[in-house]
Amino acid sequence: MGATPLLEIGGDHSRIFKRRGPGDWPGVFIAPSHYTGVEGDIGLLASDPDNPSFVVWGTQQLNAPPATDSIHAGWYSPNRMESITGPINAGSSDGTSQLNPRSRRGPDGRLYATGRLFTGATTGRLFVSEDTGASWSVLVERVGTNSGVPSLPYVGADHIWWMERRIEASPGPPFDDSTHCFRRCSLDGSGISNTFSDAVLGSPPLQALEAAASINGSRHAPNLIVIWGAGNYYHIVCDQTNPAALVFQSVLNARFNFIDLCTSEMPIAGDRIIQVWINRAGGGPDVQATYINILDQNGEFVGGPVIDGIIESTSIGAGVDRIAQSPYDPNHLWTCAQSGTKVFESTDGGWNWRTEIVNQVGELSGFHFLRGLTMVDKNAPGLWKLPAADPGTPSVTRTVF
Amino acid sequence: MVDLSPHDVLAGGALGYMDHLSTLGVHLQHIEVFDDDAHPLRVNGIAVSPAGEIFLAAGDPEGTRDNDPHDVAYVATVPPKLATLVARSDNTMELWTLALDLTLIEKFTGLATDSGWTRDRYGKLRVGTDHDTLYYTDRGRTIFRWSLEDGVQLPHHVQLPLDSPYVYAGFDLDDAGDIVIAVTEDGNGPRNAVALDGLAVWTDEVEPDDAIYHVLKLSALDFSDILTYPVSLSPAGANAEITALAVSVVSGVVARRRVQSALIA
Repeated sequence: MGATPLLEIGGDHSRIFKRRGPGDWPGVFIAPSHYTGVEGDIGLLASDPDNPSFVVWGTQQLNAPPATDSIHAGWYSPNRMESITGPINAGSSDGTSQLNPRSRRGPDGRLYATGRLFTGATTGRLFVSEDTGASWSVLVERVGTNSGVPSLPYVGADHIWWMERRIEASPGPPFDDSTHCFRRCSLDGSGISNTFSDAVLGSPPLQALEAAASINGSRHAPNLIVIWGAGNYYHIVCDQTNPAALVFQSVLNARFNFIDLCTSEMPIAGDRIIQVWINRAGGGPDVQATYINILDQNGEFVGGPVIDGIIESTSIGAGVDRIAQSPYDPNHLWTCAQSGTKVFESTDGGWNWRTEIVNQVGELSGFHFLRGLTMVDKNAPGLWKLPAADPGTPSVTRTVF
Repeated sequence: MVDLSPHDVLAGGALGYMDHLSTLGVHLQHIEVFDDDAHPLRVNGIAVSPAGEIFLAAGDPEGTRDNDPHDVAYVATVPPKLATLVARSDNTMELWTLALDLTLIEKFTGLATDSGWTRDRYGKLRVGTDHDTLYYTDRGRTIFRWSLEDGVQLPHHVQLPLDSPYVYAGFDLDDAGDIVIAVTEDGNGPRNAVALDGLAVWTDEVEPDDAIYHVLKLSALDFSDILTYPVSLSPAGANAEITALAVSVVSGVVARRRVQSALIA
């Protein structure tokens, strides 16, 4: 009984769900943005601690032209989750429209998100919201033949960083460096530059960091940024002040498919990087096992694997999808099975993991840790005080029991 | 017989029994609730008069009777009377007024309900500070109002959005006319009953995490926890959801009074 100190929320293709504690999945609720009835993809972002009920999510509508891919931001109010912005990346499509349903709050307080459209020449966009998601504008637009700004941007103190893939060369600068590039620009969108590309890295090429690539910062070492490509073999760690000089790159055996990582601030051992990767049995589609690796910030292997065993899916892309660390408890880590209904939870920094079956939840695509969020869903418990003068606006609420 | 002190709490829910708690959550006694044929009833609503009399809306747990009393309220008119919310087997709602000896005064039929309401969604009833306006809910999206004096439906008090995940359910009114209301549709939270006692709110919980139902005493200021009391609403230790709560009020010099529970069946 009593208020739950920590809520964990996650999203799958069309729903947002919450967990109040081990084994306690009180239900799901349909994200308001999912109005088309067509499966999308939800990415979630918990805002800063001063604003815990603010959430950003995106939907990726699949195979249903006209595309209505969208990024939404909303508040969990006592009544319901309010969507305060509509589609920002809508357009006609042949069914291959894509939006990276991810967003991130920069240290400048603005929200950043990326998306791309396959509408003939692919357009990749970096969006920014000045008003906590109520409206969005295009900060950077990249026109190419395959993709533009595909990765989740990392917003540092002075620059926005992203990874983009360009399979075919685009005419003229700054689009003259084809293939895969790690780029940055100033916070106002100017000064787009290429930090390094395939030529810098040699073999294996940077192309491994493709559409699902993303970039993380380290809270313990602010200048350190980690770049990784989901579904590929390695990741890169570099310093923002001199990004071309790599701190290290981790090259995994090609049999193993690198999925995701998070940087971890361990209370005892300092900064670490925790990876999730899966064994594809020789590069094939069959997922044989899932592993967690723990590296120090120099890329040295510290421990793991600690999850093993067969994950149920046999299709490419299945298996473990994300890993995240609670900002409230550095030892609290989550990862999840993308194609199933399992969540793997560690409360000791990744050394030991337990599996939890989540029957209500389908394919998990992301999750975050929130504290103090009055999550609203079909199972929302509550007690309200309705003032006589304005009964529609509860003056006292308690919605977590 | 019940020895009722000011601020004591009555909690109904278990079949054939009602709990009597002190304001500190100490269990004082089980009160049997049976009909004249010795069939156990479930207490859906409780009203306590300023004189310390206890009135129960005690329903048929099988739901087979034509009239199922969902809640009862004490109306401090002159003379005082009772207002009872009655669910009919045809899924309509009625309001009955009764004298304190439980003789019927008047029936009002066709009370407004939320779309699709069925009698298994328990209504709750309270009297406004004007002693005329009745507020009631049907575990739907609306707090309805009814004028007792005029016998007419009034415009609703407040309504949730159509897609709200909440429901208006058990509630109570304070002296300022503010409403404290349980809004839990599913999950663990208060739904069935709210009873105000000054700076405290007593309420129930549904679907508790540990499968043991509790009665909750919360601060009326911020709904923070004051007391959580696991209820075992029968001598046999049956663990039942609370469906009704009432607090014994202080009136004049009444400090302790022996009363006989009365049933409306």
